[in-house]
Amino acid sequence: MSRHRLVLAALVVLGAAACSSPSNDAQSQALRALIPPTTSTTTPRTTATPPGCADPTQSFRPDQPLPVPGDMPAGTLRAIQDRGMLIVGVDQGTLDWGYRDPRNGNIDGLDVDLLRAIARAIFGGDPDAHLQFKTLTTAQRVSAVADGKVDMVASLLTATCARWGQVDFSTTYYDAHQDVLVPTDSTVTEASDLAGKTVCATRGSTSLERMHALVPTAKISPVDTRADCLVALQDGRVDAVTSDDTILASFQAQEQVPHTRTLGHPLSVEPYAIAMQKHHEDLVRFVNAVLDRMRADGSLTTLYDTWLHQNMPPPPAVYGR
Amino acid sequence: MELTAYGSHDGAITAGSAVASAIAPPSDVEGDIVTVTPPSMPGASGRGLRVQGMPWRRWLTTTPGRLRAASAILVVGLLVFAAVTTLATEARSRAAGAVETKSAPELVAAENLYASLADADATASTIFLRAGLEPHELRTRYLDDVQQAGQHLAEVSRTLYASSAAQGAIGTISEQLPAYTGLVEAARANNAQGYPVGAAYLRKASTTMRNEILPAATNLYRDAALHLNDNYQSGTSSLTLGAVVAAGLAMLALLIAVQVFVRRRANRLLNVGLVGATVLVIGLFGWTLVRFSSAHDALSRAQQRGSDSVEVLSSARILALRAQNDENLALIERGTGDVYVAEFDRLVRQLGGRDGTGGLLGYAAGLADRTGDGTRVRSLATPLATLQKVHDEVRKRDDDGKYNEAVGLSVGTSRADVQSTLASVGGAGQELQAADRFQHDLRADITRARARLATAAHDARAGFGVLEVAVPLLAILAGLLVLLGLERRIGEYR
Repeated sequence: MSRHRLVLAALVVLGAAACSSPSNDAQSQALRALIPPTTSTTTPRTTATPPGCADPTQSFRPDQPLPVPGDMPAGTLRAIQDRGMLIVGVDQGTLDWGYRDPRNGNIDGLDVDLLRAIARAIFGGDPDAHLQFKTLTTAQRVSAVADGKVDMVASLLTATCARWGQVDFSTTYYDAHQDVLVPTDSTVTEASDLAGKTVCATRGSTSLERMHALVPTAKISPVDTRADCLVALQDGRVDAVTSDDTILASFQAQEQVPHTRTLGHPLSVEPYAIAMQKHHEDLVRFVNAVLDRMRADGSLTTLYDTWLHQNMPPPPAVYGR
Repeated sequence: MELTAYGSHDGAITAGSAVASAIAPPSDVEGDIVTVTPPSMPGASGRGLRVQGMPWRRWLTTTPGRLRAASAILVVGLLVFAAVTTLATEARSRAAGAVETKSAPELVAAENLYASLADADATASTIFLRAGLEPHELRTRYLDDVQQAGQHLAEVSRTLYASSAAQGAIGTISEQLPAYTGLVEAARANNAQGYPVGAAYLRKASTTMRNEILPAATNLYRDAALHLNDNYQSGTSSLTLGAVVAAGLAMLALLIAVQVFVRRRANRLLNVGLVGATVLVIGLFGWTLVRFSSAHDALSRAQQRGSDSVEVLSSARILALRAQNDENLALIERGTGDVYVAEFDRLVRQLGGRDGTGGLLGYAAGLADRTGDGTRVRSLATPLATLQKVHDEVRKRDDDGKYNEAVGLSVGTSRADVQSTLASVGGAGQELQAADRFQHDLRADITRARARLATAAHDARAGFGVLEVAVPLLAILAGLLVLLGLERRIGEYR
């Protein structure tokens, strides 16, 4: 064997080793595909209290009798009728108000029935054929209306002067109160006992802001969806939940074994109203007319009875805007 | 045998030449003045070591002395050659073995782990979307996924190198997976009662999966892929090859130099022992080079025909599973899941490019062309296109307010009215079927590539075992031949 040939062979092998050291192209393609792109977060809009809002429950008075379903006057109502679909924002996690029944997938509740009544007044016939539900987190409710993503929102939404700056409200259809839910064995009896405690509240709710103002030393644990507070309380990750009595009652109704109590001291009054986009006063007046009729014919009282097992008169309509 | 090596200044054998000239000074005169100074043992002369009745320095200038020195140097040289070759062979054998027994299974286990976890989550959300009585086959699928995820996690923990990053990821998954299943069961219990808080539990479970568990599984998968690459690198390292080449050439140069010396001194054409040793060294050297080169080829094959495809197709599988879950989440969020719809679109584009033939699958088809599987991989565009088509239909129905139809079309439904409506467009649950079809085809291609990887990895390792035993044995044999051959020459001077 020639030594030169041997050297040559060795060099060839060496060269081959140097040239074909594994390329990473396939691997880097494969691995790069798994890295998600970075997403930007949107900044929340700032709200300003509009001038001249003394009473947030004041709404626009109906200026004509309700039109016949399916024969809406020109304007916002006509546009909705022509579209064939009323797009509404609801919650799907608040039992008895706006919830998805996991046994059949249907969205139901008091708020949903209200929207059904409005859809029936616009289209006639089966309202579910003309309702498109969009589920909104608590913080999305006002902006979804303001941005025109939905025609209206009925989702345990309190009419406030600050929110009147962004949207218009119907008259009040229910008066709720802010309260606090604690485990039965908790030592908390007053809101002031929550100092230093961890309190769950929903982002974008009036309850969160008021708790912050009332007990500044309470540690607020914010969540996006109301039901997340129930999960947190059941997990023992928070000492208390603050929300409207309506929402807290829906939490208690979902306990396998009751082990919570409310403090029973209303911290506020929360007038619930339906929110609609600004500059669509014809729609607001129409919704108020539907609500007036429901107050008059007792169907609103029936809704309270059906969903809340409460027998009480609806709050009166307040006009003057 | 041509013996022109002596005196050559070829760069490749300078080490050998230096030693050769040391033991065979360029003088023909016997009994010359001492020209060789042993590099070590400087104090030895002082103690007056004597060999065959003369001081060792003097003895070294005699022919028997030089022959002995030469035989000692050759034996030491053979030991060094054997040691270097053994170490290099062992390093390569270890790397090739690691590809076969560690990295390749580890890559497969990590990919299966991710797929089981992602499928469990997608199935849990599918069950939720369907509402009503839990379909038995979906519940079984979820439970199987969770059980398999546990098994794959155990496999990964067994095989994965103890890198702290991998341990952290394994810790995260083993900690969060029970939390995840606990949340899914809480969701299930609440759903059975008709409590909407079940949705909140499921959302929390899915958030845990997406934000904690799946990123950790992605890290494990990435780790496994990088380990595989490391083993390819060390299995084909030019350092080990260079060491063997240098040691082999030096050894041959030594042998040749000694033979030249012996021939000049003893006027014998051939020394059988030395020739035998030379033949053995050449054989061993050649064998090692051939083995290295075929292992190198096998590892290249493992990568180019096996793991490249496994990795790219596995990533495609992961992306498809993510897309499926995004579709479910978009439906669960009901009208406000735009972010999931956008992510679905992005993932499908990443998978198939603009027209379904580019993207990761297009790249995978290019890789598959190496093994003639290009057509098979290209045919994945068909189920992907079906998935995209059904997805568009689902989105359209959801946007048109036909939510129940959208859900029915996507994951199936028990509602008779929706079923009859969807019967005209091909029935309920089409999207789930399309996604399963795509997964099925993809898995088949991954399995083929995986088999090629396993075969080639086995080829890379096979044969190293015999060589590893042969190197020291043949080196010892060569040493014996050297001693035998030179001893006879030395004997002639007694």
